[in-house]
Amino acid sequence: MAKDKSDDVGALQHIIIVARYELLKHLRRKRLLAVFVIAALAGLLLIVVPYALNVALPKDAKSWASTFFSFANSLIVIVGAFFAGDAISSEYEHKTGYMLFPNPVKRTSLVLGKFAAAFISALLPIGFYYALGAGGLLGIYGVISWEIGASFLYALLYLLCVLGLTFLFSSLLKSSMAATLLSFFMFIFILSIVSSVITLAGVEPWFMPNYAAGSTTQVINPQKDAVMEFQGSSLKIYQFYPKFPASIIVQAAYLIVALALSIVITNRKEMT
Amino acid sequence: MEAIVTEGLTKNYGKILALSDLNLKIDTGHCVGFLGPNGAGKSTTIKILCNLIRPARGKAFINGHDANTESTSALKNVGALVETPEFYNYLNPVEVLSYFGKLRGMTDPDLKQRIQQVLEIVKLSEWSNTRIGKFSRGMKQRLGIGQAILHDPPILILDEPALGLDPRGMYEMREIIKTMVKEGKTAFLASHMLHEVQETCDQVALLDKGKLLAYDSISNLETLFKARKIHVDLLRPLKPTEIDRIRKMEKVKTVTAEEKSLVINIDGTEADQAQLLTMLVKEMGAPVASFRPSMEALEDVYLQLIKEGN
Repeated sequence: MAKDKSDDVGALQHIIIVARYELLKHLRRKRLLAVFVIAALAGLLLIVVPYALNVALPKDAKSWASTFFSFANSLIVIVGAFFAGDAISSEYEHKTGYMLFPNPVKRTSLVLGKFAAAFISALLPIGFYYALGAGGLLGIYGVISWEIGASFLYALLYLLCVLGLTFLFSSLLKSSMAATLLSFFMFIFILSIVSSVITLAGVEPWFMPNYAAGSTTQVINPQKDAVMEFQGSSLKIYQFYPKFPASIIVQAAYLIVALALSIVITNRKEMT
Repeated sequence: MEAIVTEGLTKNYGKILALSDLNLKIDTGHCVGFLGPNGAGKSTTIKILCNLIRPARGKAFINGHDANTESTSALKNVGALVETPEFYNYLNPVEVLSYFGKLRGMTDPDLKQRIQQVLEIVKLSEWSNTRIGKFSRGMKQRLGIGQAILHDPPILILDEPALGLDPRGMYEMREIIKTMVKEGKTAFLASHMLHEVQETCDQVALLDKGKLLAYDSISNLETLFKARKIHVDLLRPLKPTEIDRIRKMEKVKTVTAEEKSLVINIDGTEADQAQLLTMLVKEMGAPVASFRPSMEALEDVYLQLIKEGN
């Protein structure tokens, strides 16, 4: 007869087991296919449409790459919301937690396992988009530089940050749809509006995660802060660009705080 | 040794008192039925034992481990089925059982063999590779029982295990529990199905409005509440004089005759029951076809206690 050996199963092993079965979920759902289609369409549009419409391409590869990879941040928000929105909330909403939680596993391991699976799943379409961009660069300009790799690493950091915050929403809310939409609108609209208002006031929004995410293009095509003044008017338009140590620290801080809060909430949340 | 202990367990949902100072001690090797009407606090108790919710006051222990502060040690020995089971629709039964088995530290060779066994026990072998999204409620219930017994736990905690099962499924579920109890395991079974509990359990805890009304063996409760009922089937109807003779017997409270059957309410022990049978057969020459305790007895105790509680 099989014996219960859960004492022998460490937290790390639990995380790996949870991650494996969560990955299976992501691989079997249509969401992964959907984000691959979005990534492919966006990439191909940026590569093919200029040729089709006979639009002049930027002269230098850096400008083109900067434009191409600026969409990566939007793609990250989409995959983050898709893969993490229901990670915790669905256990409560669909009552699968009644089966999962009575196992001798710490909820911290469950959250970390689910987080690992969401990260790996989201990595696939993001990696695919970067591969498309690298292919485009080689095909159009015949060059590829280390900055693309650095941009990819910044993209992964932003992905972790988005996943962390989405996990927080997922542990706070009972509805998977609400958590997914909140995450999506938070990054696409709310944070963008707040960052724009702060910038208009002449303050650099260095503490905003979506602003810090600009590192993905800043590393490819660095820009300097600028202030545009209009003659005869007191109106000033500020343009700020993320600075490297700060943007890394800000995104890492959001990830750590949000994920830690998500773990605390999941540990405390009752399955009534 | 006590498998499950609750000490002053109290739980509120807002202003609603779901459980009030519940004290229970369940010895190893017993099957205890946890009876009560809807909202009595049965599921709340089970959820506390499974660390799904926390008590406002009091403690719950499983094999001596605090169910809330030492949940992993406590749940290690438990196979649980809480509420209507819902599974991940994208997995099939083999994958679900592998997932939960691995979380419990079962190795692949152990799991492979045990999953086959369990699927045979719960009669889901032919559905082993079908996605659970296509399962009926009864099939999910069977799988829920399967995951509860997968690791051969010493303690089973089941919340309405017969829910959604057909009569054959109910019988098989009862047999699974009886077999486990015979092997020295403990079962704690919440239900409103009195017949189910009477068939499966040797003890009952009666709960209403969060309060424990009674906790004893079924036989003791029947005696205590003078609710022992005997159902007698006869080959011919008894004459009124014969029925009167039974009524006049010591310990017999009431006799209800209906064509070729009698329901005798007896205020006595099993020995008095034996004496009654002897009198019917030997002294009166009544053609007794069957003589069995009525399933209504526990129902009488239950209704009496709930009424008193109100």
